[in-house]
Parts: sequence; structure tokens; C-alpha cells
Amino acid sequence: MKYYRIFVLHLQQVFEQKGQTFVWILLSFMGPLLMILFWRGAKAIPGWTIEQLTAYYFLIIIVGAFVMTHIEERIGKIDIQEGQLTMYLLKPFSYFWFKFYYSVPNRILQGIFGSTFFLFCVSLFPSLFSFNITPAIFLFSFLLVVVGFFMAFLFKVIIGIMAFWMTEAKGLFEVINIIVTIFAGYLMPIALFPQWLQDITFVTPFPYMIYYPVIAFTGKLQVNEMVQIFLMQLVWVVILYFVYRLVWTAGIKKFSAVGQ
Amino acid sequence: MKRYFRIYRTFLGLNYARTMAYRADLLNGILASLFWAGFSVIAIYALTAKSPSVFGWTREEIFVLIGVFNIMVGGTFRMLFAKNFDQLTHIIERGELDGVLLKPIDSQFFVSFQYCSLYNGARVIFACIFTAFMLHLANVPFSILALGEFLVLAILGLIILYAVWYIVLTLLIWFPDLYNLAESLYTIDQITRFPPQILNELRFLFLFFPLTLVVSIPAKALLQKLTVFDTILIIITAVIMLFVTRTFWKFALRFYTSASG
Repeated sequence: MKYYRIFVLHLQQVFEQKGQTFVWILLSFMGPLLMILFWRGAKAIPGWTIEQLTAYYFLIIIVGAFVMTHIEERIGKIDIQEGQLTMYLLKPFSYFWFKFYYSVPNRILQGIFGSTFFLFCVSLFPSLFSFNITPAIFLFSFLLVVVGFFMAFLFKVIIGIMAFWMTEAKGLFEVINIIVTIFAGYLMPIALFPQWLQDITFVTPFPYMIYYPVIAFTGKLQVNEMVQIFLMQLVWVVILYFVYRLVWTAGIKKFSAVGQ
Repeated sequence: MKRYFRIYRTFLGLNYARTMAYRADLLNGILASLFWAGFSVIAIYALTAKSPSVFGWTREEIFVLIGVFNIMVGGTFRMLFAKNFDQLTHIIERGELDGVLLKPIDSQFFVSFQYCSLYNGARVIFACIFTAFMLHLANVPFSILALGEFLVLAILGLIILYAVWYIVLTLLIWFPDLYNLAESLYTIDQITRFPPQILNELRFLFLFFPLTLVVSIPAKALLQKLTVFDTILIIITAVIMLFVTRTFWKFALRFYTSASG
């Protein structure tokens, strides 16, 4: 059907740029590399060995690559501010699903690059990593990643739509990026946050997008915990979807009224 | 030499005028840079929450380190050079370097200093207050000598950081479409936030070694834990790096083929 075409078209575009994408992914490993080096010098980290931390940081990058879309920049800058949205509204398919199938190829490619690099490192230096994983856990964790992507996509669409009301959406995007960096677990495992920060973090949807799938992959979760997280993810998808519909309807009204 | 000081004064005047013409931008810039400063502190706060010491640096000392990072790198370095380096990628790619080379002024000086992001000054001020407070928490007695040492070593550290950036950016002359070179340098900058022992494990990353000195040695001066070895090391490194960047740039200019290349 028509959405499949959109997916394939963009997949081809993304493959053309595979060189640049590859460099971006390698660059994104730099930050975590520094973190790993930092932790090697820390005394007494409760509940985590340095091998588990190394695995954690690599996984954060890979899961992040699969999950965290940057569609808000396209929606906010190109579609809304530059008015390209009109073109989409006139077409006989849903803007939401168009953006969805547009986002997937980049995620897949970056995720695959990240995973390949990761497997390469694991095979070269197996002693640096520590895993506790079975095929069942692997599959379930992957499911969490997929739902995580849905959550992240919905969230980023909502943020992108904010451009209907803000002329300088770029500032908002930067702030959101930082919030995601902290609360999704890019900085360090959330379990190592001070308690008050942990409490705040788990109220937000971000740990469910990236942090929990990563923890699932490291094998630190029991099956019933994974089910709980899965259910929580679904709850968030529903909440985010409702927020999206609200914001979209309000925004579209404003958009047509102004007649950009 | 005096001529270049005068020229720089003119640059500052021009930048000031430009900043005042766009005051909303100024406010935006101040808020954003303060936000980044706050984030860097929160990050360190979270990272050291469960471990009392890292590479022999106590928590308070690491806070002083991040404070100095914000003064030197997040604040001063970005203020003096961020926009210039950003523009350098455009200048080389679009062949505008020709115009620069035709001017009766040293090209490296012009390209490095023509812009100044004054809003980062706010970050420097706040970082100074923050660092002073952290020094107080670390029970470090006030000392004019330490402050003087800090200022001198900070300048040397900035020279090293500048040289590292400029050497990498000089590669743009051969590869003008590598716009993410500047991006990657922002990431590599992060090495300066951490204690120098962080690279102990990876000695083959010796290229990054100068970066570990940039913030940590001035910070040590403030913490009054400076050794003679540290001082000599940073002086020698700064001199060598300055020489390298100068020579490399002059060498690269011979290969510059302008927009039609």
C-alpha cells in the first residue's frame, strides 16, 4: 500500500547517505566512551560492575539509534515554519503516518550500524563487557524497543507541532534534547541517580523509551518486571496519542486561520 | 604587535555594536549558555552522586573542575572562538578565504578573532561565582598567588585548546565538505571536563593528551595542588601546539584552491 512506498523511497535516500550516517554513529559513541573511561576511575559503584556499565553505554547508543527520531526538526522547521505542511495536507494520506514511515528507515540504518559496531567490539574485547541474556529475553527486549520507538515518535511529533505556536522552536528542541539526554539514561544508568532525581525521572515517559529496553537487554530485569514495563509503555502510548490529537487539532486550526 | 591589539579592539567594538543591534538574540544566547552551564553541573552532580572519588579527585574537586571548565571552555573559549570556527567551515567551502588572504592582515588571526560571542560572558561570570563557591566548600584558603597562577595557566590552556581546534579545522582546506568536523570537536572538547587520568587506560589516544591538560592544570592551580612538573608540561605543550598550528596553517594555505578547486 501507499505507506510502504514512502518507506521504501526514503530507505533508498538514506542508503545514499550511508557514509555520513556511519560517521555520525561513530561520533555518537564518543560521549559514552568518555563516560566509560570516567567510571573506570570511580570508587565503588553500587550494584554495577565496570563491564556492565560498558555494556550499558554501548546499548544506550544502539537502542537510542533505533528509538530516538529527530522528526521534530523536520516538522517544526521545514513543514510548519517554511510552510511545506500545506503540500502534505492536500495529499490523500495521513500526515502522521507519512512522517512515521519516513522516520523508520533512518532509525533502522543507524541501529544496524550501531549494532554492527557493537558486535565488532564485543568480539574483539569480550572481557570488557558483561551480559546475562537468553533468546527469550532478547526478543522481549526488542519488543520493548519497538514500542519505545512508537512512544518516542509520538513525543517528537508533539514537540514538532509546538512550532505552530512558537516562532523560535529551535530553542525548545535544544532544551528537549537535553531533557531526553538526562531522563532517557544517556548520561548514566538512572539507577545511579540520587533518589530524588530518580523519582522525578520515572514520572516522565523517557526512561520507558530507551532506558528500560536497555536494562532489559543487559538481563537485569525479571520477566514480570518486563511485562510491567511493557504495559506502562502501552499506557504512555495511549496518553501521548491523546495529547498529540489535542495539539494537532488545535494547531491545524491555527495554521489554516493564518493561511501560511 | 601593537597593531594587532588595535585591530582586535576594533573587532570587539564591531561585535559589541552587532550584539546591541539584536538584543533579543543576546538574551536568548545568555539564557542558552547558562542553561548549558547548569546542565554540565547537574551532569557532574549525578555522576558523582554514588562515588565519593574519581581518579583520586574528590567530589568537591570535581565540582571545581567543572567550574573551571565552564569559565575556560564553555565560557571564554566559546566566546572568543565558537562563531569564528563555525564561519571558517563556510569561508573555506565557499572560497571566501580568497578575500581574507588578500587583506593586509594575518589570515589565521583574522579568521580566528573576527567574531566574538559576547553573550558567553554571562557564563564566565556565573562560572566564576560557582567555582569560588566550590573552592570554599572544598576548604581551599584564598590565595592571590593561586589566582595569579590560575590566570596564567588558563591562558596557556586556552592556547592549547585553540591549537587543537585550529589544527583539525585546517584539514578543511583539503576536505571542504566535512562540515561535521566542527561538530566532532565539540564532542572531543568534553575530554577537558574530566580528570587527566581518564586517558591512562588508552595511551594510544595520545593525540588527545594535550586536551587533558587544558582545564585540569589551571584547576589544580586553584586547588593549590599544582606541581612544578604540571607547570612545565603545560608551558612546553602550549608552545609546541602553537608552533604546530601556525606551521600547519601556513603549509595548508599553499594547497588552498578556492571555490573552483
